[in-house]
Amino acid sequence: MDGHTLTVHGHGPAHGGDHHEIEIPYTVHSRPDTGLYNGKLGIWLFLASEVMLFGALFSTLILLRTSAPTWPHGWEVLNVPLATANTFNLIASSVTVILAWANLRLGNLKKAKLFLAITLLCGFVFMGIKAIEYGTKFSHHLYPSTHNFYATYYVMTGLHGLHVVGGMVVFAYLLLTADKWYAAKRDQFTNRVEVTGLYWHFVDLVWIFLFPILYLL
Amino acid sequence: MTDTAIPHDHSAGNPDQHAGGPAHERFSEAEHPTHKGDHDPAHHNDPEHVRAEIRRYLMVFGALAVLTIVTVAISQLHLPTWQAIALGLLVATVKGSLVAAFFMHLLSERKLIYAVLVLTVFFFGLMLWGPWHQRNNAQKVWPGYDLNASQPAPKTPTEPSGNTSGH
Amino acid sequence: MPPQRQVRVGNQWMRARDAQRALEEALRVAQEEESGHGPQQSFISKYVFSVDHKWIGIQYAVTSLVFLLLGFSMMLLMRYQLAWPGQPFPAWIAKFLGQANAPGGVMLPEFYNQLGAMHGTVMVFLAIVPLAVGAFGNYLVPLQIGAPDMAFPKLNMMSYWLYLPGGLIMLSSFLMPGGAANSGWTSYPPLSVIATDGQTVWILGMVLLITSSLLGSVNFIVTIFQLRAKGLTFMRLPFFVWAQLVTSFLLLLAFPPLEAAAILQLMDRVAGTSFFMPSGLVVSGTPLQNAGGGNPLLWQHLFWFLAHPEVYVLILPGMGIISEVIANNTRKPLWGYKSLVGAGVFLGFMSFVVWAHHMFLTGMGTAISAFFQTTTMIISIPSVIILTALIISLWGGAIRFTVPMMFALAFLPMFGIGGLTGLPLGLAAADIHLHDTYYVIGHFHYVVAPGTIFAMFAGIYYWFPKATGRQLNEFWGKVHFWGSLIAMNGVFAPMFLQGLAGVSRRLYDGGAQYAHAKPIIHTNVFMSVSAFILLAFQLPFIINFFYSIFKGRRVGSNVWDATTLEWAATTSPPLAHGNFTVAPVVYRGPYEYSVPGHPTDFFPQNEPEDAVPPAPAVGGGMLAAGAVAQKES
Repeated sequence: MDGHTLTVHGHGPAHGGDHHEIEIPYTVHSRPDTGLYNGKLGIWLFLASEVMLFGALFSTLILLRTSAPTWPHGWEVLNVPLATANTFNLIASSVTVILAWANLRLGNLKKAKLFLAITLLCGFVFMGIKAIEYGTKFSHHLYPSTHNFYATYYVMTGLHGLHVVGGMVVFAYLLLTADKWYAAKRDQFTNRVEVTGLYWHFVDLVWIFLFPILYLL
Repeated sequence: MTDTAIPHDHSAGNPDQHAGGPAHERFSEAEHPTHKGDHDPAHHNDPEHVRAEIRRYLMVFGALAVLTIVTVAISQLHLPTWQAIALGLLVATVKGSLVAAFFMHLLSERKLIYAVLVLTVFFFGLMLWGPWHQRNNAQKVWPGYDLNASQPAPKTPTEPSGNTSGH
Repeated sequence: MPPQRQVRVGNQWMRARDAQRALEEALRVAQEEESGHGPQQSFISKYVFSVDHKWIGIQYAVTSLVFLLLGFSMMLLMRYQLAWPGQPFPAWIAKFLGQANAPGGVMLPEFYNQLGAMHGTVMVFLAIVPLAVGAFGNYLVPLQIGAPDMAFPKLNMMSYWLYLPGGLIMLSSFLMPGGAANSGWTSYPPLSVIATDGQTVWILGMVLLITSSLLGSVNFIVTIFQLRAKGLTFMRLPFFVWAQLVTSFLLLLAFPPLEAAAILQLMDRVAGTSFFMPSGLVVSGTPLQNAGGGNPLLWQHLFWFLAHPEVYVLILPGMGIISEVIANNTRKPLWGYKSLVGAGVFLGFMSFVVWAHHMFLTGMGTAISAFFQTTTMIISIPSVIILTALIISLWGGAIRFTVPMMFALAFLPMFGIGGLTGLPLGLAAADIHLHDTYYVIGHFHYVVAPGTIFAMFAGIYYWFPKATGRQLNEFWGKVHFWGSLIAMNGVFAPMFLQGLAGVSRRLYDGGAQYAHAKPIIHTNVFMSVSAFILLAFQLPFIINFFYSIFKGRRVGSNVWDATTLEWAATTSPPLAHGNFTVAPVVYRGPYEYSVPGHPTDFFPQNEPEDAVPPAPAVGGGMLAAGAVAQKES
């Protein structure tokens, strides 16, 4: 009987009736045997599914391109300088988000917020450049239905753009709640920035492949 | 059959474990110094270590920037399609590996995450291979498989290995 | 091991336990009162947007059971048409279907196609998977691993609230001009791309459902890896949790390709792209105005890359449920637990490598067909291992013929029939004859209907007392069981004969226009009558279900004398959000029944070895007694 703790909390979280009170283990700190906290395992699993999502699109692109009698080179029809600028932009945002995380670990909230803001700004710049690219294409009557090259171009960059927007929403949320979260649960906030960063790096990584495949080859 | 060797201490995250503790005796970091900063051995929170990390991130950023210039430059050479693809993908793979290894800390990640990723990459490869193999096979045994063949034939011959260009 | 002694002692204990129930009940009431003093949750946050995995599980269960009934009703309409082609429906049904779908009460072929596509979609994506994973997984996994909730409770809520709108959007497509999706549940292009607008709604619904499943699978995997109780190592997990873990990995990695494919098909439909549309298509004499150059087979690859693992998503949780029920009702450990786990994991892995056996007739070529034929034969091995282990588990057991056990026992041969009839389909040569015939329909319905759905029924009868504290009526449960078993075989067995005779699936008239179908087509009437009898035998279940929620026999916390944590370490129904008053500690494997020398015939996972349990107070009762004593002191 010694193995049991035969006591019930008077006001324990388990039966307080309010769901805000229960604590899920390992939301902040790592479980010893996996060495991970929940959010980190969760985001990696999510990224694994994202690999399969974009993988299916890459599979589509390979199949369509190799089957097609004509397939334009990206640099003939797409705006390489703009896309190159966007590549720099996105890589830079990947660095700023990791610097935000590093600064949180140093206890420097102000700097961390600054870097988060820059990351968000990079997101806006990226989407702005995308909008210019799309706008130019539309004005030349180059639509997804024009050719499968444009179809894959629009779908892949479009889906990637949606991911960028999703990341931007999270960054905005993190920025708005930074003070509150940092004051109350510093470690958890740091973890959130790390997890969001992992997602953002993945978005960056996808672009690193999309850029040559669509624009340069 | 008694398993007294409990594989891990559950007490940190679960307040119920504290017998009869009042509400304020919840988990807090200060009370559990053993758990401080344990979430990833690669990320000690001491300032020296973090600053060293930051320097490394900036170096990786430099490398990525240079490689971006390189890959754009290569594309300006207008190499034959297969060489261009090989080189372009090579540079992209290096860049992607840098992001994954350093920014995403895959160099020092936990086994569980490696396992998930290996599984994913395997299935990813399978998904590329399936349709690709079917297409190649069909092209070999049935040259009329590509319905676009009714259009004017491309200048570069369509070999079974799959020439991708020919504009 | 002398089972007689065990049973006798067990019975003695059970009588003594009745006294304990009063104590537990007192504790529960006390706690309910206590929680009344705490901050009150609003109705919305408690019952609508709840983050408690137990309530979300119940939401999933009720919703998916409604969808199950809807999918079943669609099938009944089709069966009426198949048995009596061209005969008008009874007036009230005709009125319900409307003049647009059934002018003069006679079903239109277009409407038949819609029903066919929607029956498949509703059953697979809205009924069985949400029931198996969303309902049972949500409710039981945290309880069985001793966790207070899922790892991400809010994400869990979001999964449900993506699933429900996804389902409603899917159903609402019946209201679109041209009706619902009508290209089969597989939605093969180019047909699906040129189909009516219902297909667009189908795709939108699918995107929501897929997203819901993805979020859910991440949640399950993290929960199982991270929140296992102290001492609960992987080889001590109940097989049900293993099944859910493998299932979640299948959903996680197989669903995204379909999501991508759905997006591509959406683009083909609304933006005029040609991902799946080859050049030179002529529809009704008019050449299609699109760029062309697409590949219809690409859809099939991406679709089956999901949909074959999906088959195992359908069956694995069922196997998990059956394992729990069999171990509990034979009162002995499962035979070959490690083989079961190994087979389950291998099954999951292999399920990714067999998808193109659905495509033998697409002209893939012999090399790739041989490859997928081989992998298909290989994947039958773990299925056989699981079934064999479960059958051997019965050997020498003191079987209790409870309702869940009867469903579990029926599952074994029924799934066996479903599995074995799959082998000819997996062989490329035999598949040439059987492909797209009623044989295929018979095969996978045997797997899913008297297979998975029976497992679901077993689970509902088994865990109903867990969720409600009351038991479903045994007599009506047995009526439900026997009626369903006989009627289901009546529906599906003749399909094999029709298929072998060459009758194609998806025929509006059931094959009446084909000479080769003439000798066998009379079985359509038998199958349809069986289907209506099947409906009749679901009524006792539906009434029993709702009646028992309010008026069923009240039972104690561990009504089945089970060993796993959900029964042994908490009350039934479990306490408020948080599940356990005391974090359980696990000392042994999940199926320690009839352990020689132990005073009762079950040895709960959370009971310490050295504790000499006083005969009446074990598990939940023990905790309750201690708790009450503590409170009073």
